[in-house]
Amino acid sequence: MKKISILLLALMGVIVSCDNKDELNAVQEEQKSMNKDYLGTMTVTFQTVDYDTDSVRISLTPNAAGDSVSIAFYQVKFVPQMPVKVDITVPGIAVSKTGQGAELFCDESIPLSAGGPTERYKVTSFQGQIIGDSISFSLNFGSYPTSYHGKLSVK
Amino acid sequence: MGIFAPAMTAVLLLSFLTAGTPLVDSLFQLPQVSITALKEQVPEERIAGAVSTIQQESIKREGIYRPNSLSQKIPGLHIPDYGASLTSTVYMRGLGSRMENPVMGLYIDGIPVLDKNMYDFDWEGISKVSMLRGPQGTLYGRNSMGGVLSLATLSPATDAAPTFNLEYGTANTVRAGAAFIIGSNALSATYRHTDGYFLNTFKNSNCDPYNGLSLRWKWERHSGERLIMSNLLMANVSREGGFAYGQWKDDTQYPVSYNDESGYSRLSLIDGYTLKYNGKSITTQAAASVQILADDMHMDQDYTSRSVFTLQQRQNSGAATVELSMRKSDTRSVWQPQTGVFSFFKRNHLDAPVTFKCDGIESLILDNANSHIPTSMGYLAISDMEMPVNSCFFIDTWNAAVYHESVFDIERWRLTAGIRLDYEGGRMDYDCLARLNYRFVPNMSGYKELSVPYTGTVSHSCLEVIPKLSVLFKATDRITLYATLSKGYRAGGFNTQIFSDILQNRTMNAVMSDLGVYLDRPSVSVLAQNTEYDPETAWNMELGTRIRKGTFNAAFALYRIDVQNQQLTVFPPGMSTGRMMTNAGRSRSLGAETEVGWNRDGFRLQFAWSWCDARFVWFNDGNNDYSGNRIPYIPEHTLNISAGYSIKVKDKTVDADVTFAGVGPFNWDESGTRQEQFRIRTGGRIALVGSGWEIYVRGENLTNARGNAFYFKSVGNEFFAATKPRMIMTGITIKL
Repeated sequence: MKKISILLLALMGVIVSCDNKDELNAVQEEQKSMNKDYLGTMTVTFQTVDYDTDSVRISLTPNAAGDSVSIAFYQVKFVPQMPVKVDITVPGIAVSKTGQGAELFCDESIPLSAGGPTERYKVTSFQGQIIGDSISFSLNFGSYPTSYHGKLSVK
Repeated sequence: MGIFAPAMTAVLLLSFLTAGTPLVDSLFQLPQVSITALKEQVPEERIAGAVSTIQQESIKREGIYRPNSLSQKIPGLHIPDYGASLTSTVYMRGLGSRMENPVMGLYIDGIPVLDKNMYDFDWEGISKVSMLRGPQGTLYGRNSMGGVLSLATLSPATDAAPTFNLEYGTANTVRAGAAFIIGSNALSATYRHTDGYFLNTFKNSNCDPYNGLSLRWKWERHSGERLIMSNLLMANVSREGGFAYGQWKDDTQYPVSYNDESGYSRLSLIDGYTLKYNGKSITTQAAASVQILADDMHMDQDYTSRSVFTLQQRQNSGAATVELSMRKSDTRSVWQPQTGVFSFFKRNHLDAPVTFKCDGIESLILDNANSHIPTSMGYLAISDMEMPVNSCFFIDTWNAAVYHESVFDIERWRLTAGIRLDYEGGRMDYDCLARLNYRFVPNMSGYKELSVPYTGTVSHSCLEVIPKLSVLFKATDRITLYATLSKGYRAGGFNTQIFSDILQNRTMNAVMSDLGVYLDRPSVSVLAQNTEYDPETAWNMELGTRIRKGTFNAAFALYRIDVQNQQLTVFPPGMSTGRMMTNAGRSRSLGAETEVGWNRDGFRLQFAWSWCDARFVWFNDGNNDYSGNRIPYIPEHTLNISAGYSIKVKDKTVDADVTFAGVGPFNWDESGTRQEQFRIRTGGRIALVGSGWEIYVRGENLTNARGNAFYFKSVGNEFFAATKPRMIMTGITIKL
């Protein structure tokens, strides 16, 4: 009896560790699936006029838990009159998996650019989705309503 | 080219008029007393080209103790006296620039001096100075595009009496020299000190003091009738102040006033061994040398009282040269061939850190960067009070050449044809590093350290074919005519001075990339490869004549020089920063030169004049087109008139000499907006000469004429270096 109990305990341990391992693998797979680059068009509304910028590259980087991502925008101008382009990263975008892909949402986030937090471009009302190879979302960068539509790009 | 056709007709006409006068054979024989300083197979007066010669007596009387002293005395030669010993630039026949390689070769007793930083030194015991004017590429190879200056030192074979001289004068200047012969050895030494002539008003002390010592030991031995061996060892050490540059602003010349250390110190060593064997049928001459240079330059690069940026340049270089030539021993045969090989290897270790100081960090880096960033976004700040940009270079240069020249003596005619194949290669290993601590306000709470390394290798090689063709006609015993077509080249290399531009731009690009901020302008991407430049070449067409009658001698020359693949510094199209090298220019020089000498019954006269019209045929620096403009720094005229008279007073002699030396006008920049007028400087000397001694008083610039020796721009400011003021020196020479 004692031997059977020990055997059962050991078996349970193996089952639990396998579950944990499976869970870890699942999380890692989840992270890998979210770690992607996209190439698309960014539209910024400035004084009621929409300004499109093509070939804007963004990069999604999930956190350790896999339940949120940071979205990095590379060399973007919010308006054509802006004399510089910037790299800007929006952290803390929540991710919710769906059958076809994922939903992305965030009420408020302070983006990072030029070495630190940029209050001037505080992100609000972030909403978006990933379906297959496509991504689309809308947000406010400070006072600039912005949207993005892109396709998966080889990393 | 129109002037050459009638001139050539005159040459041919004279040849017909004077045909039939017998040759004087002995004039075509090469003296065999000592090893020849020049490579030509004939006496200097029989060279089919322009040659200037200054003998020992004139060297002493005219106070010629360094290469700068030869300016204007040799027609067309202009070596402005400014800066420090390493900055002297040689201009000759419309050629010359502030690039690394010079246009004039320097030979001392047949030994080539490779590095132009070793050109400017004081000498004592020089028996003769010879200048071959115009391209001399066939026999002398690289960097002889404007000519070759050859110094012949005192030979032990002359058994000259020991000579000592001591001179003192303006600016507490002391010059002492000695030259004497002991057996097979000729020894000389010279020392010079000056407190300097220009006050740095910021530091309230002279900025250009000088202390220098030159030593020379020449050993020469004749073994039998056929073998001559010689070893020449020269050492020069100097420590001198900096650069007397005063700012020109609002049409006003301000005095020299800068706050950072500036100066130059140098140690140079040359040892050359020469051997000549006069065989029964072949004469062989071999020369080998080792050359070492160690120098250190500090420069306040902005030359103002603000702390903008400084430059230090430390060089340690070593080089070895070897040359072997063979010719017929019988100098009376119709055909006189000469064949030779030459090779050298040089390694230069160069450290050249540029340090941006607080004002420079603000104005050159931050203002430039922040002017492109919207203030609403923030601004870039750097915490460093000094930002060094370190550059270390190892530059190897190697060369191998083979040459041949044939001289044909046919009655009154001497025809010369020669060719040289010259291969040169170079390699530069660079290791540069900029380091700074920056912060983007208000995004970053603290400063972040950023290192920007830049390392790599650039190399190049080239093969030059350098021909020469000349004809000399001895019209009469007194008149000689010549025509020559010759080529020369100035070696290529790497312009390390541009690296500070490259690193400045790379640092800014790295900061912006690290921040993720991209300025809305094309990024400057000049690379190390853009510092490399190829050789430039020059073709010289020349007609000349020499006249000699008794103690009267005169020489005239007309020339045209065309330069191709001119080495230029340009900006990338549309940019005003990020200099790069290119071989895209073409220029031409038209000129006339004359020398006249005469002496009789104690009276002596020397006259040297040149006219040169040197212009860009094509030059666009990326922002401006200067085609057709005069080449800057090249004087249109050089003039030297020396007259003297010696009179016996009992058993003594009184010598009186006066000299008028003029140079100009010339442009200071490619656009011609800044010009220097023609100016004359008057000099004179009075000496009382006894048996074995001489006391004298001499002066330079006796009228204290004001002028400028140099002009440049730095960070948008203009600067001039003034010519030296009046100098009065008194001295004594003793011959034992």
